[in-house]
Amino acid sequence: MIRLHHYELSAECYKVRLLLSMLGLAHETVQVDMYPGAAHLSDSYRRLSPLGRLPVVEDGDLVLDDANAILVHLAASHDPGGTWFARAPGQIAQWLGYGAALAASLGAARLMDCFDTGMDSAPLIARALPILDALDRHLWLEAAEGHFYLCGTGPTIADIACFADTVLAEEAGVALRRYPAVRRWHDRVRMIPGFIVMPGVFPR
Amino acid sequence: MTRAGWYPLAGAGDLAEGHIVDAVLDGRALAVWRGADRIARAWENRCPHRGVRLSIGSVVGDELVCRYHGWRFAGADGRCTRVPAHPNSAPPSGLRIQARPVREAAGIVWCDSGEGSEFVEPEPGIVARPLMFAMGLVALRGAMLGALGGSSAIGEAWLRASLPHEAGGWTVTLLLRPAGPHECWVHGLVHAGAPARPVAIARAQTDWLAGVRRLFENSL
Ligand code: FES
Repeated sequence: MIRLHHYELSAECYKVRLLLSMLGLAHETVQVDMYPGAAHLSDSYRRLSPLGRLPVVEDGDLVLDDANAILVHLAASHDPGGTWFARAPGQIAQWLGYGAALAASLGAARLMDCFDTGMDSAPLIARALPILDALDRHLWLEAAEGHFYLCGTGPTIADIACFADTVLAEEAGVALRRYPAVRRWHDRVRMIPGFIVMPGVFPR
Repeated sequence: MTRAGWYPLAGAGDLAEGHIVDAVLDGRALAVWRGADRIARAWENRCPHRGVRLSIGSVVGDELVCRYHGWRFAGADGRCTRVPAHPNSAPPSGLRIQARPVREAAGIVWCDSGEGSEFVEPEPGIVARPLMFAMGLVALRGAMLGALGGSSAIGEAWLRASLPHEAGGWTVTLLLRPAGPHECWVHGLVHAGAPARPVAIARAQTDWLAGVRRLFENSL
């Protein structure tokens, strides 16, 4: 049985919840009280993730503490159709990298604001805007060819990796109307069977 | 305030059925949407109930549903048709969302920022990706006329320019939409005939225009 250790308000954890739901995979969940409890920094949690990272997935003997790694693992091992990753691994890996860069900029800015840390998120936002623009460019050009997902005509883990932080962009103070192709793609992702929400994300 | 007239809000192809574009025209926030009847509409982006942005709502058939309390508004006249919290009483009849005049032409959804402005149809072309510039319309228009060799003005909000030779050399019509005092959107039509892969031309256009934007950002 797959076991997910997660925190409700974390966009990184949302990525994994989304894929588990879209693939229809049975799993158990363990809530980690990251804020305000700081449970991810406890000794017991650090046995799973020495750095105290969220989410963690345990699958048999395998323990992974990185959202992208978990997405790849789930898609490679638990998607019988092979449509979520194997179709275009190089292209998809590129967007996983963009997703990680968005998490480190836009996602980090959002957490600063949401958890009222008093820190200045402006430098992080400045790093996020060019990434959002590159995403908008790619999605606009793809849509003009009738491809409504990041990598072609069907959803892949690339979409999930970039969806979570961008759909929550307004919580980091970034107006999504600046990126119309990203907004339109959000609609597409919401239509994927098994789509679920988290606080701040609207359903279809 | 810019002169009243018809300005582009979105590419007609980018406004898919059931989608709501969040756009601003001359300081006015708009929810631009297309229902099952395929008609493009531009509504004031504000729910008459509690003021929530309608652009975060959803489209059901020919109606727009507010995200907050689910009030529904008819595309045809902007009137409220349903209040979920009071399913058995008639919806408030006085409420009506302000719709702006909209038309579709040359592959673009246009909106009149005034009333009854004359519509001039641009020369048809390949619809380009809209790009936001952090400048007002007048400043942007001036900067473009200065920086883009061989460019010329067509009225107060359009320009004619050419892509550089390496990018295909195509002639483009740039259609400016004022959003705010420091925000202007550039829509475009590329005049390249009927090529086999129009997307390749749209790509060359957007990469060229993004370069122009970087140039202006660096000189601010
Ligand atoms: S604010 Fe729109 S329904 Fe209440």
